[in-house]
Amino acid sequence: MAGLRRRSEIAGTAISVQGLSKLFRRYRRRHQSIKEIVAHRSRGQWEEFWALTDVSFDVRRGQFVGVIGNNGSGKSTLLKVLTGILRPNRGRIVIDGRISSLLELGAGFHSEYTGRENVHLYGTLLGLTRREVSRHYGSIVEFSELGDFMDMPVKNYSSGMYVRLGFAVAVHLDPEILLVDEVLAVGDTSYQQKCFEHLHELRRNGCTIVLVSHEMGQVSRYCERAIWLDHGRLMADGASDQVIEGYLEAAAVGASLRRQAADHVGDAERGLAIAHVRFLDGGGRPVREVRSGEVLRVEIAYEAFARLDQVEVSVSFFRDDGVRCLDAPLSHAVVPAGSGAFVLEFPAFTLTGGRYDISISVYDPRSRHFHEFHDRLYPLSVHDGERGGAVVWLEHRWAVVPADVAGLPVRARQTE
Amino acid sequence: MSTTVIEAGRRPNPGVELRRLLRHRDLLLLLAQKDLKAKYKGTALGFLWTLLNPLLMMTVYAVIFSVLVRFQVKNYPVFLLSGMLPWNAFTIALTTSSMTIVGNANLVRRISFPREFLPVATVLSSLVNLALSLVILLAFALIFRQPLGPPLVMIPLLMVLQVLLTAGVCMVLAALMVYFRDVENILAILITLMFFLTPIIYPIRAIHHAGLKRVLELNPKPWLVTSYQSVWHDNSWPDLSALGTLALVAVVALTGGWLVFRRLDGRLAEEV
Repeated sequence: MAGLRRRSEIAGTAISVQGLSKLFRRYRRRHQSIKEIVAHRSRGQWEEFWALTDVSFDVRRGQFVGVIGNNGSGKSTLLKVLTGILRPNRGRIVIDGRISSLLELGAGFHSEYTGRENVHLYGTLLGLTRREVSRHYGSIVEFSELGDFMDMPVKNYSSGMYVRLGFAVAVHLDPEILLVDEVLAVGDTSYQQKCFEHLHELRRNGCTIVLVSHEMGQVSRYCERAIWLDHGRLMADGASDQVIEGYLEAAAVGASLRRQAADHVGDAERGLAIAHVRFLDGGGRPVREVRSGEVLRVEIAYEAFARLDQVEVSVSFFRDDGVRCLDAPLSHAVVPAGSGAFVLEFPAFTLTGGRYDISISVYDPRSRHFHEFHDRLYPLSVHDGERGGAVVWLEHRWAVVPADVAGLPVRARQTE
Repeated sequence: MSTTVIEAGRRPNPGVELRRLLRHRDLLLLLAQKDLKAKYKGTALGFLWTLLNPLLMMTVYAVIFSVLVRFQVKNYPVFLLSGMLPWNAFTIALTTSSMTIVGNANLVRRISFPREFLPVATVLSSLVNLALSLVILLAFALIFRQPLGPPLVMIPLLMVLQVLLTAGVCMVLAALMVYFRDVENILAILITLMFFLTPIIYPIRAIHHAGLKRVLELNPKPWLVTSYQSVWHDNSWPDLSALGTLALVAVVALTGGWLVFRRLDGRLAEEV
């Protein structure tokens, strides 16, 4: 029936979400075997929390919607429920059209497989037949610009290449509805630009797009509408600039963020742009998790549009409950024109286990102008052994000094 | 234009779900292929490895049962292999596919696709394995001058029944494993027990105890194994009534297994 009309001509609702709620269990102790369950007469101890609470909205066909909000606000959960990975606890969703999605970097890729094999795997995972994937194969390779690497196992790909391939597959399989999580934050800026242009193109052809993003500039430029989630609740829904304004005002560092959003409008005025940010371990391998006490490096690759005589770079670590745990500032840096990287190294990174969000700012003290301000944009998990729940673990030593020998040298017993 | 309705507390009806499976059929084949590739990675020896175990067992049992204990079975090695190879395919499918959901947690958590295909793909690949090993059995049959005839045409049917039966069981096991990790250990014990309760190393007519015989006949696996044995070893048609019951059991296992899987599937992505 619908086949008689062209997609773009069908007015109507592509996604309808009514009263959506999603409950998660956060296990403190979990019994995962029949033996334990019988012994403890329980499946473990957990806290329940609502990742989404009574969220409702409709998306018209051909709309480009941005979903914004702090980390942990439920954005990714929303996309996972929409694709059907997670089942909602309350509410009803009606989706009209075939969904394609790019939710997490490298999801659906098999690392031993070549790029070519992965295109087929990912395509069929999204529900296409092999023949359909083959038909689009040429344009996927062309768009990804990875022609020479298609017969190489993807374990040798960089994260930028992963994004290229994943994005190319997701957008070329004739989607009617496209869901994209923040994956586009990785990769170089010029390719990012290309991706956004392609999304724009898809949308003109009637594709409905829902994009999760932390980059207010992107949302403001490409999305006509934005949805702001906070702690699983829908805070605002409307024209993207208005919603972004509300979000930024509410944010703790609203003032500087507004400047950031303004800056993004005119890239030419900026002296420097951050190309990408990576966390590296002691061996120089990119990581997203680190063990407490080990080497951590933060590599901030930049593109300087001119020589900059005075730059202040600041990296701040926020724990997921909002506590700012650590600042690492760099003052009076001189940056020659061209590309390069600021590298921050902690010989022993001793924040204790948990999830952190990292803010990075690059500031020009003379013009009092932020070149970049990425507010809590980079998540990092820290694992630790026995160091417990305090904010930080510091190298320390203990001694027991009995009164009668006080004054004599005491051999301190060093912990760990 | 396809419309999807997701409603809290209610699964889509089986018809909708079946259409979804059908649309993803190429994924099933691709996953089975992936499984085979991983098994035989890099070398043709991969296949030989999977054969090594039954061949070794065969040699041991052949020595024990044709020299020490006499079962009065002619061409004992052929008899043994004709039961042992399908049994092996069955147990390999059971043990490997039960780990597929847990083992592919990353995929399950991040992509929406028919998750039942993970265990079923492994069952399909174990079937390919069985088909290859039957070629070896043929070689043995020829070496031992075992008379073979028209009943051989039943083999594809037997294999189809085996897939249906195995797939049903495997779907349930794979989903259960997410919630109860010691299913693996329980499974290992059950498999050993089942091995001796299935007339593989001994012919069913060697059992004279009436009660034991009845127990053996309750278990659907022997019907399949004895059917393979009669085709390969006795050059005779399998018992049709047993085959009919087996077909019924297989279809029930597949449908029931799938329905159970659908019930357990709801929270797999969160719990895995």
